Formats: sequence, C-alpha cells, structure tokens
Amino acid sequence: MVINTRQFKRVDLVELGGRIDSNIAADLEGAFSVLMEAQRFRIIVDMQDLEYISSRGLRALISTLKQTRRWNRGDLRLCNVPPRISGVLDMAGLTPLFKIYDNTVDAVGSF
Amino acid sequence: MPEVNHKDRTVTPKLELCVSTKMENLTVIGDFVASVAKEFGLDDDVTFAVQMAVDEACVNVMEHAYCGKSNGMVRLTCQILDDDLVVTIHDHGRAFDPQTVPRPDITAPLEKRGEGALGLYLMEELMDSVEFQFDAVQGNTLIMKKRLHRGKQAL
Repeated sequence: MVINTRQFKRVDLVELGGRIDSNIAADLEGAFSVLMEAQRFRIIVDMQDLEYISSRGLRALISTLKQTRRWNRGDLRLCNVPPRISGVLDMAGLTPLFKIYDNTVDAVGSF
Repeated sequence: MPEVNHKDRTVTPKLELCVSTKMENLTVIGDFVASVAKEFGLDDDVTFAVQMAVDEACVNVMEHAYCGKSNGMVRLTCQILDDDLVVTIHDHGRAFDPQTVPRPDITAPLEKRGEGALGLYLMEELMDSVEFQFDAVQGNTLIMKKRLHRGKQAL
C-alpha cells in the first residue's frame, strides 16, 4: 500500500498504490484531513498503481471532494485511473462527480 | 491445485482462513484472497472482484456484527464448485436484515453522497450472487459466488 502526499506550489498530489483496503483507508482519511487542516484545497489523487480501493476509501474521496469545493477554486481531481478502478467508480456512480485526467501533467495544469 | 472430477464436476479442496476481528486483519484477509487466486489460477478481473467483495464483507462483520470489538472470529473459505468460485464468510456476531439496509443512491448529487451501504452495494455488483443466512446457533453465513470463465482459466 502506498499513500504519498507531495506538495506543489498550487496543488497537492496524493499518490495511491497497492490495495487501499478498509483498514488502510483510515490512513487515506488521515492524509486528507492533514490537507484540510492545512487549508490545502486543491488536490490531485494520482491512482497510477492503485490495485483496489474499498468503499471506505471511496467515501474518503467523496467527503474530501465536498470539503474542497466549498472553497474558491478548491477541488479534488483524479488522474491515471486504472481500468478496474474506473469500473468501480462507474459502479458507484462517482465518475460524473470528479474531474478525471489521463495523466499527472494535465491534472496539475488544470488548476 | 489438483482438482477432483466427480462425474464431470469440478471441485477443488476448500482453502480456509480463520482470523480475529481486528481491523489490521483485513490486510491479512486480502493477502489470503490473493494467494487463493494464485492457487486456483483465477484471472485478474475475478481476483479483483473477489478481493474487493471479501474486504467489504469482512469489514461489515468487524464493524457491525462485532461492533468494532477485536475479539470475535471470522472464518473465510474459498472453493471452486463447477463454474463458480464460492466464498463463504462465517461469524458469530450480531445478525442483521440485509433487506432493511439502505443502498446508496448512485445518481444523487454530491451533497447527498456518502450515505447508504456502499460496501454492500459493491459486493452485490461485483459478485454474481450474495446470500446471507442467519442462525441463532450456527451463526451468520454469507455465501458469495463468482462465475468463472473456465476456458480462460489456467486450472
């Protein structure tokens, strides 16, 4: 499992890898709350090496998306979404809620 | 794994894991499912669906059946029966009525998201059948099946 947060000038990049199971999802909730407390409301979640993400992980994405959008130009955007994860986002009806980019450069440039 | 052929029936031995209901064991359970998948030669799509569904089922047992207490036990068995991978999850925690659990509205606007049992909903979507049995003496049993496309299997 990998949850890495990298801070750029205007955005924060959260890189996810491996299996974010329902236990590990607590770490993802923690990573997002650190960003929220630091008032960093422009977030990109890079899913490049993500094998799966549990419903608890998905709820963390939804709840953080809601919080970021309360702020001017705040948002949580996704990039490098693997096909199976994309299938889960579709299944849960989440695809229309997020802005999704093919790669990190486009996602960072979108802010 | 060698399979036994009973008059054209395909039956593998049962692979079993029994762990306590502490949250950290979800990772142990995920690793177990990965090794079962390897042993049975399951393809990546089936492995993904089963890992996810099992994780959701087991976290429900830990959080709801045992109310977050880590001293319960959960037993997981996996077996191929004919064209299905059959996963059984057994516990002695609190029973519940799956019919009364609200499913999430997956078309709701963002403000209304995060409500409803997304885990249970995903289990039902990812697997071909999800069936709960509750018995005061025997405990709770969840049986989930995933249809295998045997032509592509390495079995």
